[in-house]
Amino acid sequence: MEKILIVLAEDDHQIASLVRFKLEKDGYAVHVAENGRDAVDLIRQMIPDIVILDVMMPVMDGFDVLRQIKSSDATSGIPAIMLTAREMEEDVLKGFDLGAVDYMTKPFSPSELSARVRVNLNGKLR
Amino acid sequence: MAATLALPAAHLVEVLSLSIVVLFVLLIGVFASLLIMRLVLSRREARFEAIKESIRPLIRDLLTSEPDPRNAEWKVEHLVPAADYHELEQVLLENARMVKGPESDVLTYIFEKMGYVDEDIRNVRYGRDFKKAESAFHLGVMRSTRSVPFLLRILSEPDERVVFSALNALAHIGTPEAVDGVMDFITGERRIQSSRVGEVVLEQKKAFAPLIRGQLVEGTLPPERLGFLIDLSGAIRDVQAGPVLLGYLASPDDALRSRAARSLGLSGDVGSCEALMASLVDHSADVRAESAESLGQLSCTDAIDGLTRALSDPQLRVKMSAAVALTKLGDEGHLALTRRLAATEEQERGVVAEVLGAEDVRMKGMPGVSRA
Repeated sequence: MEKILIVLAEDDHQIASLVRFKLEKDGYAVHVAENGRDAVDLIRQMIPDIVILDVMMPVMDGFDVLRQIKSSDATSGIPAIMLTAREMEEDVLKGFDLGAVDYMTKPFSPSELSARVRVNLNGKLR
Repeated sequence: MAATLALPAAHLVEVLSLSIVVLFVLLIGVFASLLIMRLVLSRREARFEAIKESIRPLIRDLLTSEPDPRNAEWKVEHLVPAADYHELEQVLLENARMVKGPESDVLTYIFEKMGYVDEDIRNVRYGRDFKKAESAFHLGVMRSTRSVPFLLRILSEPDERVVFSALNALAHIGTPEAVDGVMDFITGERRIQSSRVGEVVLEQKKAFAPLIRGQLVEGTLPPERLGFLIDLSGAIRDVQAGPVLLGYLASPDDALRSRAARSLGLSGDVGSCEALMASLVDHSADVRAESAESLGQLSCTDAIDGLTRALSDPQLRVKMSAAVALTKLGDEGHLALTRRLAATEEQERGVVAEVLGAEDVRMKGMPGVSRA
């Protein structure tokens, strides 16, 4: 059986490593992009089952990535979870308006993130 | 006679040459020492980094698979050599900054059991200011509830770095005792920068916001302290503070009105648009300017007429704030502003042209945006 595919867009190397480690341990295949533009390319190329987007990223922020995903028929159905800094919690509404399905504020619990990924995949198997 | 003059001259040349040679040798020596020192330091840094890199997978593994803190601590103690405990602390701290919840509990237990908390408490009690500040910050990242009494004690230190580190740590720890200590400090007499305290309070916004609102409702503190709390409500973007801030917008104190106008914009309470529009004709120019700015921040489109009138305010600062606010109110605001390029008053025309010019530059910098 093919693994569930996740694209994680996160420019902080330490956070990306920890999240990737946790999700891989939980049986997912994870691809990491270090900025928004790379994330859009990766998502278009891989068509993942779910994406996790940090809001504050260089080149293109998480909201712009989300806009790009939602504007294309091929990627518009991919659920997105936003990771926001605590001080940007008010931007959560903006994320939901753009079509995000969930959000978490940093710092966060990796096990909680994994649980939210599971819930938002809604039992999807490849 | 010529011979007697020539001798000291020759001697002088000899002394000078010797001095130059000595100086040259000294310079080479200093340069070589600096080079060696830099090499040693960079090698040491590389060694530290290599050790940290070797520890990171273990900690990542523990954080993602070991829910029992005692097992996690046992593994860390037995898998990391004692000589690497300094690097271990750095790696644990960098992970503690990233996580919360059960993973954070595991780390807090390890910090406590491995003696890192004791060491930092010792530094907080007896260290120099720099060390105190650093250790206080660490104790916050470690979420050490045991360190709260020691952190509260250093809030009276004269050094601001120490105080802010302690405030930060207390907010991070977030127990009722820690939160009360921060509130006592905030409502106390010491003058401090509201934006920096805002950063601290943001850590535990849910705990602090109601306490700050409560103090503002009570209104018994001296005006300067109330002003500080008003600033703080804005800094932490407490949207629920809107109604109480509206009360301060009607205060007889000019400074409190102006600070309330600013914080209403920051807090994001769109219900305050009407009151801010009324404040565009306040007798204080500061209040008018802050109100104009907040109307833009809150995207109050009903304020376009009022803001357009504020472009002819006698005070330059108010004109400028009104013009900037109009640029934030969509095409209608932009159109209203553009029309004022034909204003009769020179200063108004100048402000409008300047703001529109800056806006054009900003828009041109954005991908896929063009404005005719």
